[in-house]
Amino acid sequence: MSEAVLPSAIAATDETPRRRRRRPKGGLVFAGSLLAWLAVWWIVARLELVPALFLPSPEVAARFVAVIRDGYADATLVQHAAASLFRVLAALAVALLVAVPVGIAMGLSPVLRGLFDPIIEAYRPIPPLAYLPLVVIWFGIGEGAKVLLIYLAIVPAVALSTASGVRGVPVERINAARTLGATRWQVLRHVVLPNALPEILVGTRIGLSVGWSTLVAAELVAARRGLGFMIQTASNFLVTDVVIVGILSIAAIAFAMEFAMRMVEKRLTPWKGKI
Amino acid sequence: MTITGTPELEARGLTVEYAGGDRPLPALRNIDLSVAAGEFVAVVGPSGSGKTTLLNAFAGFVPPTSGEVLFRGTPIRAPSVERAMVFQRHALLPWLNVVENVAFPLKLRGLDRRRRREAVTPLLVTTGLVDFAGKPVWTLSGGMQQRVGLARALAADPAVLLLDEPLGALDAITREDLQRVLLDLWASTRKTAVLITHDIEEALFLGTRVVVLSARPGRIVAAFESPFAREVAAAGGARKVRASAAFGEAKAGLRDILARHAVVGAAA
Repeated sequence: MSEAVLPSAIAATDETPRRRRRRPKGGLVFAGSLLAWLAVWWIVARLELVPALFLPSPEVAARFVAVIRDGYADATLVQHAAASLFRVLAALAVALLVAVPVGIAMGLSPVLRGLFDPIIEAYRPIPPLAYLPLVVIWFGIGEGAKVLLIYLAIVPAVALSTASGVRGVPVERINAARTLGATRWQVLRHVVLPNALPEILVGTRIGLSVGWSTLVAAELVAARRGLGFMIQTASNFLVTDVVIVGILSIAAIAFAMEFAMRMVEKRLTPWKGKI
Repeated sequence: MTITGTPELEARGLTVEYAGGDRPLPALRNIDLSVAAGEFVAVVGPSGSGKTTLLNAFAGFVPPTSGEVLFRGTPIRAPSVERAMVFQRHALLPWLNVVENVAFPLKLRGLDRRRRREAVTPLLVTTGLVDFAGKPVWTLSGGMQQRVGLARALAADPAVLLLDEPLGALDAITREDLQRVLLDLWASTRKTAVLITHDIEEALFLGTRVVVLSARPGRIVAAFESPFAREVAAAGGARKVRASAAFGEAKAGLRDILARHAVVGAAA
């Protein structure tokens, strides 16, 4: 029994470091591509190949400053952005509260999956703009209806991802826990849910981007603030540079959120796909 | 070795069939096997011989189609912490670090963090994991991960260890290391164990008894005592035992038996 404890040398060689070096290449290409497109834009606008009404020059940046300082359509850029951000985040919060439990139920029970699947699958491919009139007729033109439209767009992404995460738990992981004394509830709480977390986060990330793409539709009716509202107002008056300011603002915020979500994923689920 | 009293695990006329397309798919046919307390039974057989089905029946995952499986004389109906299972892969919880994985059975029993960590420290020492306690399990090599799996099963303090090819995915050198770890753990805890393996040498080295299954549907075609595990446990010298003439002969004999029964429909 003198060999009961393994020499640390053996233990040490048993571990192989798996750290990968960071490759900055992707980031460089990304930045390069962005700059190249900006350059093309600038050249086309500068040479006036297209009238400024259709494509203002990148010096729209000046307009950015103006909209931030003086505002457009009775609100500053920050106020418009805040209104939109609130709508998207409120919709996301409610969607998570509803769609995660629904997704878990769908992942666990074929009966419940059969119950929810037709509803979700039936309206998921419909553009929100198509059912906007219904939402307005049923729920009016208040803030709630706007949040509801975005919420409806987010729910399927989160619910379906969650369900697929729950179904994707390796059977060994569940069976091992059961032979270690886990009750059904403990298997759900300590194995299935943590195991589904990566996919819940992916669903949230997809939901956010779907939410932002629904924003303009949501702010189509009776909005007084919001980036989507600002774009539509500017478009009505052919103020193309403000339209571009609005588009770029949405892009920037959505991109920042996407990036933040990726950081959250890395932080909460560094093990994703590793074991 | 003579078996006295009620065996820890017993299969009586165990037949398991899975629902197939138009007719049931037989996995095991009429298995009679009893495992006494403290025994280490190694089950070998060709792929698809129902080895894993046998283990799943003992665990309580798969009900018998006919016959019975018993734990200490009582029919097995569901998984129990008395029969902890170790899998080849995918069974650890990657969101927990090494010590929390090992202490998982104690967490299920409601022990708080400090007490469960204290409780598993000796296990971390004997399995060579103590320096890795705080590491995320997914950063460990396959061999270290299997140590975590073994330590975790022992932390549950089961009566029986069910080992489903736990070393099957490891390279040869790591595998021998872990066979040694497994043997030492068995010798020091005297847990009853059932090991499924397709590795002849592993079966002979670890099993106090070797049971050979035929190709599908699995029947027991041979069962014999193997002295090597007890020799190593008593006197050490794993390498010498492996290199001995007796071990070589046993390997050749077992290979013969397997070769005769590896093909479906081969003579019994």
